[in-house]
Amino acid sequence: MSEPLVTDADLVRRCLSGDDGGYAALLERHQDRVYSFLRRLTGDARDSEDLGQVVFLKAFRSLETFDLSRPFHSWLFAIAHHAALDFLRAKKTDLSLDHDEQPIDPADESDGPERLTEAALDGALIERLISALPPLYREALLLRHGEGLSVEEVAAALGVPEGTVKIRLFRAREMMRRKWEAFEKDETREAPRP
Amino acid sequence: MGGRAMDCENARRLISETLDGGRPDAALEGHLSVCAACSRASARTRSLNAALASLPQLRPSAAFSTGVLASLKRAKAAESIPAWPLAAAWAASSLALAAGATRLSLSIPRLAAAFAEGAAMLELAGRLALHALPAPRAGAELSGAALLAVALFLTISLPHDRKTRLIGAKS
Repeated sequence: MSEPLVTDADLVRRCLSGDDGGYAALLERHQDRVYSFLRRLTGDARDSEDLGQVVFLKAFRSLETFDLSRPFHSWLFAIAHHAALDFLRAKKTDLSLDHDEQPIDPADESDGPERLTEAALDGALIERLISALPPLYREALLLRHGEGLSVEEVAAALGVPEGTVKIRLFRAREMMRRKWEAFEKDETREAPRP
Repeated sequence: MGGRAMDCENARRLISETLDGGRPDAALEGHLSVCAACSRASARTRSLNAALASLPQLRPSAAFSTGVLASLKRAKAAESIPAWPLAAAWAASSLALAAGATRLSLSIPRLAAAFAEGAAMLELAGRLALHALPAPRAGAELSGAALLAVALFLTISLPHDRKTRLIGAKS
């Protein structure tokens, strides 16, 4: 992907110099990414729009604290991460990871590839698999693959060490893969015999 | 089986790390060539990552961007209004009401009490109206409320003759 002619830093400078057009341009450039992240994290369109408003308003009103040498989207996702977690906490969503810390035992995967009919990994299935993840794993995976952030950028956005991000990504991938396989087993079991 | 399981556990971690920029690992490649379960897990994990990367971006409603920009405009407009004129107006009106109450209290105590209550109600109405304004207005609100409190205190607590001297009224 080619670099845009006008960078995010240029737009931030425009905002700080009093040019309101800079805000509209930054919003147009980033609103879909932020909204997609929030929508897949909260699971609700209306909540995501409300949260998105909070995120952009907070970002625009604290632009003078933004370090122009850093990627703007990472900074924006850090604000979105905090807003989303506050929202989920207020909804009494369980954000702990304790129940997912059991060691992975690859030996329990006895089904060979010939016994499973690989379910097509379409959009609906992948959305379902994402929504089944704990929120802290979900956001790491969404930022890493959905938004294409590096591990370093994800760590900066979430405010955790890179090692923690790698562990969350590893567990998220394992959980998703296992749920995909469990889904296939169900499909295979329920499929009518000829 | 325990040794294999341990190797598989490490293999799964290395599979994940290679997806995050880790270097290709010869020991991992060797393991994948002999372990069907890990080989399948590796292929599936890559498929999942590819599917995640190709998820479509979702769009908020058309009202979203106009809502953000309108909220920003309101916030900036509220910031640009200086707080002192509001505080000064509030202080002046509070003092005027308190002075009126003091004068009345010299001759008609009941009416004075009613007047003081009216002043308090007006002050409350002012505060409710200020809820439409953002945080910087809180300073003005507090200034006005504090001055009104002082004025009412003087009305109630000063002895009759001192009130008379204070406002120059003759009973």
